[in-house]
Amino acid sequence: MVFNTGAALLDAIVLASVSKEPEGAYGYKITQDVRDVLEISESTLYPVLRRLQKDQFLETYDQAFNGRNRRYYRITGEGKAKLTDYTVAWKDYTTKINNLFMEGEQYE
Amino acid sequence: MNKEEYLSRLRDLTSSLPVEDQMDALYFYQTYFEDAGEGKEQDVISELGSPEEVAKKILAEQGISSTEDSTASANSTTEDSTVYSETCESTDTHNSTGAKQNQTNGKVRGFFANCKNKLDNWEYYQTHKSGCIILLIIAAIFTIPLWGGIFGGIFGLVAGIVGVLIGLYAAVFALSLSCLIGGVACVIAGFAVLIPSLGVGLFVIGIGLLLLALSSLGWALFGQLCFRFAPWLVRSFIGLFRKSTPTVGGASA
Repeated sequence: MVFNTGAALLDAIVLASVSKEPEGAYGYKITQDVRDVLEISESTLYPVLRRLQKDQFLETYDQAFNGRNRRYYRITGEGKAKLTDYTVAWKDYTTKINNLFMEGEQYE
Repeated sequence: MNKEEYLSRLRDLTSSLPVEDQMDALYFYQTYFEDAGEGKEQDVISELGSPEEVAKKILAEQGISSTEDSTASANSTTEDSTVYSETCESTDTHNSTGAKQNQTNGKVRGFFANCKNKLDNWEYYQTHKSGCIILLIIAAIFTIPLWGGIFGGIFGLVAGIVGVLIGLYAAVFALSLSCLIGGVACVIAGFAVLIPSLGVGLFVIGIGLLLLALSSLGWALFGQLCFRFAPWLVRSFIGLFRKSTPTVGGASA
Protein backbone atom coordinates (compact mmCIF):
# COMPACT_ATOMS: atom_id res chain seq x y z
CA MET A 1 0.00 0.00 0.00
CA VAL A 2 1.68 3.14 -1.25
CA PHE A 3 -0.82 5.71 -0.05
CA ASN A 4 -2.30 5.93 3.43
CA THR A 5 -6.08 5.56 3.54
CA GLY A 6 -7.58 8.19 5.79
CA ALA A 7 -10.74 7.79 7.82
CA ALA A 8 -12.90 9.70 5.33
CA LEU A 9 -11.79 7.63 2.38
CA LEU A 10 -12.33 4.44 4.31
CA ASP A 11 -15.85 5.54 5.24
CA ALA A 12 -16.56 6.31 1.60
CA ILE A 13 -15.28 2.96 0.41
CA VAL A 14 -17.29 1.06 3.01
CA LEU A 15 -20.45 3.02 2.18
CA ALA A 16 -19.92 2.39 -1.52
CA SER A 17 -19.35 -1.30 -0.95
CA VAL A 18 -22.46 -1.68 1.20
CA SER A 19 -24.58 0.34 -1.20
CA LYS A 20 -23.90 -2.04 -4.08
CA GLU A 21 -26.69 -4.27 -2.74
CA PRO A 22 -30.02 -2.65 -1.88
CA GLU A 23 -30.59 -5.15 0.93
CA GLY A 24 -27.08 -4.59 2.27
CA ALA A 25 -24.45 -7.11 3.31
CA TYR A 26 -23.16 -8.83 6.43
CA GLY A 27 -19.92 -8.05 8.23
CA TYR A 28 -17.72 -10.80 6.85
CA LYS A 29 -18.77 -10.14 3.27
CA ILE A 30 -18.27 -6.38 3.58
CA THR A 31 -14.81 -6.99 4.94
CA GLN A 32 -13.86 -9.28 2.08
CA ASP A 33 -15.25 -6.88 -0.54
CA VAL A 34 -13.35 -3.93 0.90
CA ARG A 35 -10.18 -5.99 1.07
CA ASP A 36 -10.49 -6.66 -2.65
CA VAL A 37 -10.07 -2.92 -3.09
CA LEU A 38 -7.78 -1.92 -0.21
CA GLU A 39 -4.96 -3.63 1.62
CA ILE A 40 -6.18 -3.08 5.14
CA SER A 41 -6.28 -5.23 8.23
CA GLU A 42 -9.56 -7.02 8.73
CA SER A 43 -9.82 -5.67 12.25
CA THR A 44 -10.12 -2.15 10.88
CA LEU A 45 -13.55 -2.70 9.42
CA TYR A 46 -15.70 -3.23 12.48
CA PRO A 47 -14.95 0.18 14.06
CA VAL A 48 -15.75 1.85 10.74
CA LEU A 49 -19.06 -0.01 10.40
CA ARG A 50 -19.92 0.83 14.00
CA ARG A 51 -19.19 4.50 13.51
CA LEU A 52 -21.17 4.70 10.26
CA GLN A 53 -24.04 3.02 12.05
CA LYS A 54 -23.89 5.52 14.92
CA ASP A 55 -23.80 8.38 12.44
CA GLN A 56 -26.98 6.96 10.88
CA PHE A 57 -25.38 6.31 7.50
CA LEU A 58 -25.88 2.57 7.91
CA GLU A 59 -28.59 0.61 9.62
CA THR A 60 -28.58 -2.99 10.76
CA TYR A 61 -31.09 -5.77 10.69
CA ASP A 62 -30.91 -9.43 11.59
CA GLN A 63 -31.86 -12.25 9.27
CA ALA A 64 -31.80 -15.97 9.86
CA PHE A 65 -29.36 -17.93 7.76
CA ASN A 66 -28.76 -21.66 8.07
CA GLY A 67 -30.37 -21.74 11.47
CA ARG A 68 -28.43 -18.86 12.98
CA ASN A 69 -28.77 -15.11 12.97
CA ARG A 70 -26.78 -12.87 10.68
CA ARG A 71 -26.54 -9.13 11.11
CA TYR A 72 -26.82 -7.18 7.89
CA TYR A 73 -25.70 -3.62 7.28
CA ARG A 74 -27.72 -1.52 4.87
CA ILE A 75 -27.15 2.02 3.64
CA THR A 76 -29.67 4.67 4.72
CA GLY A 77 -30.95 7.74 2.92
CA GLU A 78 -28.48 9.89 4.79
CA GLY A 79 -25.78 7.37 3.96
CA LYS A 80 -26.52 7.67 0.27
CA ALA A 81 -26.35 11.45 0.49
CA LYS A 82 -23.05 11.23 2.33
CA LEU A 83 -21.71 8.82 -0.27
CA THR A 84 -22.63 11.27 -3.00
CA ASP A 85 -20.73 14.01 -1.16
CA TYR A 86 -17.74 11.72 -0.94
CA THR A 87 -17.82 10.72 -4.62
CA VAL A 88 -18.09 14.34 -5.74
CA ALA A 89 -15.18 15.33 -3.49
CA TRP A 90 -13.20 12.33 -4.71
CA LYS A 91 -13.74 13.21 -8.34
CA ASP A 92 -12.52 16.74 -7.73
CA TYR A 93 -9.55 15.53 -5.73
CA THR A 94 -8.42 12.91 -8.20
CA THR A 95 -8.98 15.08 -11.27
CA LYS A 96 -6.62 17.73 -9.95
CA ILE A 97 -3.99 15.18 -9.02
CA ASN A 98 -4.33 13.35 -12.32
CA ASN A 99 -3.87 16.61 -14.19
CA LEU A 100 -0.76 17.34 -12.20
CA PHE A 101 0.69 13.90 -12.87
CA MET A 102 -0.13 14.13 -16.58
CA GLU A 103 1.55 17.50 -16.86
CA GLY A 104 4.63 15.96 -15.37
CA GLU A 105 4.51 13.04 -17.79
CA GLN A 106 4.45 15.35 -20.81
CA TYR A 107 8.05 16.28 -20.28
CA GLU A 108 9.42 12.76 -19.95
CA MET B 1 -5.54 -20.15 20.40
CA ASN B 2 -8.92 -21.29 19.15
CA LYS B 3 -12.02 -19.30 18.39
CA GLU B 4 -13.50 -19.62 21.90
CA GLU B 5 -10.29 -18.51 23.56
CA TYR B 6 -9.94 -15.64 21.10
CA LEU B 7 -13.48 -14.37 21.70
CA SER B 8 -13.14 -14.85 25.44
CA ARG B 9 -9.94 -12.81 25.45
CA LEU B 10 -11.63 -10.16 23.33
CA ARG B 11 -14.50 -10.03 25.80
CA ASP B 12 -12.09 -9.41 28.67
CA LEU B 13 -10.29 -6.67 26.77
CA THR B 14 -13.51 -4.81 25.92
CA SER B 15 -15.03 -5.00 29.38
CA SER B 16 -14.48 -1.29 29.90
CA LEU B 17 -16.99 -0.50 27.17
CA PRO B 18 -20.68 0.12 27.76
CA VAL B 19 -22.41 -3.24 27.71
CA GLU B 20 -24.32 -2.55 24.51
CA ASP B 21 -21.18 -1.63 22.58
CA GLN B 22 -19.26 -4.56 23.95
CA MET B 23 -22.01 -7.01 23.06
CA ASP B 24 -22.31 -5.56 19.59
CA ALA B 25 -18.58 -5.96 18.98
CA LEU B 26 -18.47 -9.51 20.29
CA TYR B 27 -21.51 -10.45 18.26
CA PHE B 28 -19.86 -9.05 15.15
CA TYR B 29 -16.72 -11.12 15.59
CA GLN B 30 -18.59 -14.21 16.70
CA THR B 31 -20.61 -14.24 13.49
CA TYR B 32 -17.48 -13.24 11.58
CA PHE B 33 -15.87 -16.53 12.54
CA GLU B 34 -19.02 -18.42 11.65
CA ASP B 35 -19.35 -16.73 8.25
CA ALA B 36 -15.73 -17.49 7.43
CA GLY B 37 -16.69 -21.13 7.47
CA GLU B 38 -15.66 -24.33 9.16
CA GLY B 39 -11.96 -24.94 9.52
CA LYS B 40 -11.09 -21.33 8.79
CA GLU B 41 -10.59 -20.36 12.43
CA GLN B 42 -6.83 -20.01 12.31
CA ASP B 43 -6.94 -18.12 9.01
CA VAL B 44 -9.36 -15.64 10.51
CA ILE B 45 -7.27 -15.27 13.66
CA SER B 46 -4.10 -14.59 11.72
CA GLU B 47 -5.86 -12.08 9.48
CA LEU B 48 -7.63 -10.28 12.28
CA GLY B 49 -4.51 -10.00 14.35
CA SER B 50 -4.26 -10.46 18.09
CA PRO B 51 -7.28 -9.84 20.34
CA GLU B 52 -5.30 -6.96 21.80
CA GLU B 53 -5.06 -5.23 18.44
CA VAL B 54 -8.72 -5.78 17.67
CA ALA B 55 -9.78 -4.51 21.09
CA LYS B 56 -7.53 -1.48 20.77
CA LYS B 57 -9.26 -0.46 17.55
CA ILE B 58 -12.70 -0.96 19.02
CA LEU B 59 -11.84 1.16 22.07
CA ALA B 60 -10.23 3.84 19.90
CA GLU B 61 -13.35 4.13 17.78
CA GLN B 62 -15.42 4.31 20.96
CA GLY B 63 -13.35 7.26 22.14
CA ILE B 64 -13.77 9.08 18.88
CA SER B 65 -17.51 8.65 18.58
CA SER B 66 -18.09 9.72 22.19
CA THR B 67 -16.89 13.25 21.35
CA GLU B 68 -18.74 15.52 18.96
CA ASP B 69 -15.87 15.46 16.50
CA SER B 70 -17.05 12.61 14.32
CA THR B 71 -17.72 14.91 11.38
CA ALA B 72 -14.39 16.65 11.89
CA SER B 73 -12.55 13.36 11.88
CA ALA B 74 -14.42 12.24 8.78
CA ASN B 75 -13.27 15.34 6.93
CA SER B 76 -9.63 14.82 7.77
CA THR B 77 -7.70 12.97 5.13
CA THR B 78 -4.62 12.13 7.11
CA GLU B 79 -5.91 10.34 10.17
CA ASP B 80 -7.03 6.84 10.88
CA SER B 81 -7.74 5.08 14.12
CA THR B 82 -4.13 4.10 14.84
CA VAL B 83 -2.95 7.66 14.27
CA TYR B 84 -5.49 8.86 16.84
CA SER B 85 -3.84 6.75 19.50
CA GLU B 86 -0.36 7.96 18.57
CA THR B 87 -1.24 11.65 18.70
CA CYS B 88 -3.04 11.16 21.98
CA GLU B 89 -0.07 9.48 23.63
CA SER B 90 2.62 11.81 22.32
CA THR B 91 0.88 15.11 22.99
CA ASP B 92 -1.02 14.20 26.11
CA THR B 93 2.13 14.41 28.22
CA HIS B 94 0.38 16.20 31.01
CA ASN B 95 -2.26 13.61 31.60
CA SER B 96 -1.05 10.17 30.60
CA THR B 97 -0.26 7.76 33.36
CA GLY B 98 1.04 4.42 32.15
CA ALA B 99 -1.43 4.38 29.31
CA LYS B 100 0.28 1.54 27.43
CA GLN B 101 0.00 -0.85 30.36
CA ASN B 102 -3.62 0.10 30.80
CA GLN B 103 -4.33 -0.81 27.20
CA THR B 104 -2.89 -4.26 27.35
CA ASN B 105 -4.67 -4.96 30.60
CA GLY B 106 -7.88 -3.95 28.93
CA LYS B 107 -8.66 -1.63 31.82
CA VAL B 108 -8.97 1.40 29.59
CA ARG B 109 -12.02 3.11 30.97
CA GLY B 110 -12.75 5.05 27.80
CA PHE B 111 -9.11 6.05 27.76
CA PHE B 112 -9.28 7.55 24.31
CA ALA B 113 -12.43 9.41 25.22
CA ASN B 114 -10.75 10.92 28.28
CA CYS B 115 -7.60 11.53 26.29
CA LYS B 116 -9.32 13.57 23.64
CA ASN B 117 -11.49 15.49 26.12
CA LYS B 118 -8.57 16.33 28.36
CA LEU B 119 -6.56 17.41 25.33
CA ASP B 120 -9.38 19.76 24.30
CA ASN B 121 -9.66 21.22 27.82
CA TRP B 122 -5.92 21.61 28.22
CA GLU B 123 -5.54 23.36 24.87
CA TYR B 124 -8.49 25.61 25.62
CA TYR B 125 -7.05 26.53 28.98
CA GLN B 126 -3.62 27.19 27.48
CA THR B 127 -4.93 29.51 24.83
CA HIS B 128 -7.34 31.28 27.15
CA LYS B 129 -5.24 31.45 30.30
CA SER B 130 -4.71 35.20 30.40
CA GLY B 131 -8.36 35.78 29.58
CA CYS B 132 -9.40 33.55 32.43
CA ILE B 133 -7.18 35.41 34.90
CA ILE B 134 -8.53 38.80 33.85
CA LEU B 135 -12.08 37.53 34.25
CA LEU B 136 -11.23 36.27 37.73
CA ILE B 137 -9.82 39.65 38.75
CA ILE B 138 -12.87 41.52 37.46
CA ALA B 139 -15.16 39.12 39.26
CA ALA B 140 -13.21 39.62 42.46
CA ILE B 141 -13.50 43.39 42.22
CA PHE B 142 -17.23 43.27 41.63
CA THR B 143 -17.84 40.97 44.54
CA ILE B 144 -15.90 43.07 47.08
CA PRO B 145 -19.06 43.84 49.09
CA LEU B 146 -19.72 40.13 49.34
CA TRP B 147 -16.39 38.77 50.43
CA GLY B 148 -15.54 41.98 52.29
CA GLY B 149 -18.62 41.44 54.41
CA ILE B 150 -17.81 37.76 54.87
CA PHE B 151 -14.28 38.50 56.03
CA GLY B 152 -15.54 41.26 58.34
CA GLY B 153 -18.00 38.86 59.87
CA ILE B 154 -15.40 36.17 60.34
CA PHE B 155 -13.03 38.67 61.91
CA GLY B 156 -15.74 39.88 64.28
CA LEU B 157 -16.50 36.32 65.27
CA VAL B 158 -12.88 35.52 65.98
CA ALA B 159 -12.44 38.74 67.95
CA GLY B 160 -15.54 37.90 69.95
CA ILE B 161 -14.25 34.45 70.80
CA VAL B 162 -10.91 35.86 71.85
CA GLY B 163 -12.68 38.41 74.01
CA VAL B 164 -14.70 35.70 75.72
CA LEU B 165 -11.57 33.70 76.42
CA ILE B 166 -9.82 36.71 77.88
CA GLY B 167 -12.84 37.42 80.00
CA LEU B 168 -12.88 33.83 81.21
CA TYR B 169 -9.26 33.87 82.21
CA ALA B 170 -9.64 37.23 83.91
CA ALA B 171 -12.73 36.17 85.80
CA VAL B 172 -11.19 32.96 87.09
CA PHE B 173 -8.07 34.78 88.11
CA ALA B 174 -9.94 37.57 89.85
CA LEU B 175 -12.25 35.15 91.60
CA SER B 176 -9.41 33.02 92.87
CA LEU B 177 -7.43 36.02 94.02
CA SER B 178 -10.33 37.61 95.80
CA CYS B 179 -11.23 34.36 97.51
CA LEU B 180 -7.65 33.99 98.59
CA ILE B 181 -7.43 37.49 100.00
CA GLY B 182 -10.84 37.23 101.59
CA GLY B 183 -10.00 33.86 103.04
CA VAL B 184 -6.78 35.02 104.59
CA ALA B 185 -8.47 38.14 105.94
CA CYS B 186 -11.28 36.14 107.50
CA VAL B 187 -8.95 33.68 109.14
CA ILE B 188 -6.90 36.46 110.67
CA ALA B 189 -10.00 38.35 111.77
CA GLY B 190 -11.48 35.18 113.14
CA PHE B 191 -8.43 34.51 115.29
CA ALA B 192 -8.61 38.08 116.49
CA VAL B 193 -12.25 37.74 117.57
CA LEU B 194 -11.62 34.30 119.00
CA ILE B 195 -10.58 35.59 122.40
CA PRO B 196 -13.55 37.87 123.08
CA SER B 197 -16.11 35.55 121.45
CA LEU B 198 -15.25 31.95 120.73
CA GLY B 199 -18.34 31.18 118.67
CA VAL B 200 -18.09 34.15 116.40
CA GLY B 201 -14.37 33.65 116.05
CA LEU B 202 -14.72 30.01 115.02
CA PHE B 203 -17.48 30.97 112.61
CA VAL B 204 -15.36 33.59 110.89
CA ILE B 205 -12.37 31.26 110.78
CA GLY B 206 -14.62 28.69 109.16
CA ILE B 207 -15.73 31.14 106.51
CA GLY B 208 -12.14 32.10 105.93
CA LEU B 209 -11.13 28.48 105.42
CA LEU B 210 -14.05 28.01 103.02
CA LEU B 211 -12.90 31.00 101.04
CA LEU B 212 -9.37 29.62 100.99
CA ALA B 213 -10.68 26.32 99.69
CA LEU B 214 -12.65 28.10 96.97
CA SER B 215 -9.59 30.08 95.99
CA SER B 216 -7.48 26.97 95.69
CA LEU B 217 -10.15 25.46 93.42
CA GLY B 218 -10.01 28.66 91.40
CA TRP B 219 -6.25 28.49 91.13
CA ALA B 220 -6.44 24.90 90.06
CA LEU B 221 -8.92 25.84 87.37
CA PHE B 222 -6.76 28.71 86.30
CA GLY B 223 -3.79 26.37 86.12
CA GLN B 224 -5.78 24.01 83.92
CA LEU B 225 -6.76 26.88 81.65
CA CYS B 226 -3.20 28.03 81.29
CA PHE B 227 -1.36 24.76 80.96
CA ARG B 228 -3.86 22.41 79.37
CA PHE B 229 -6.64 24.33 77.67
CA ALA B 230 -4.52 26.97 75.97
CA PRO B 231 -2.01 24.57 74.38
CA TRP B 232 -4.90 22.37 73.22
CA LEU B 233 -6.57 25.37 71.68
CA VAL B 234 -3.41 26.39 69.88
CA ARG B 235 -2.76 22.83 68.65
CA SER B 236 -6.24 22.30 67.25
CA PHE B 237 -6.13 25.70 65.58
CA ILE B 238 -2.88 24.79 63.83
CA GLY B 239 -4.32 21.36 63.10
CA LEU B 240 -7.07 22.99 61.06
CA PHE B 241 -4.42 24.24 58.67
CA ARG B 242 -2.15 21.21 58.72
CA LYS B 243 -5.02 18.74 58.33
CA SER B 244 -3.01 16.16 60.22
CA THR B 245 -2.13 17.02 63.81
CA PRO B 246 0.58 14.91 65.39
CA THR B 247 -1.18 14.07 68.62
CA VAL B 248 0.82 14.30 71.77
CA GLY B 249 -0.31 12.60 74.95
CA GLY B 250 -3.80 11.93 73.74
CA ALA B 251 -4.81 15.54 73.10
CA SER B 252 -6.41 15.41 69.67
CA ALA B 253 -8.23 17.90 67.46
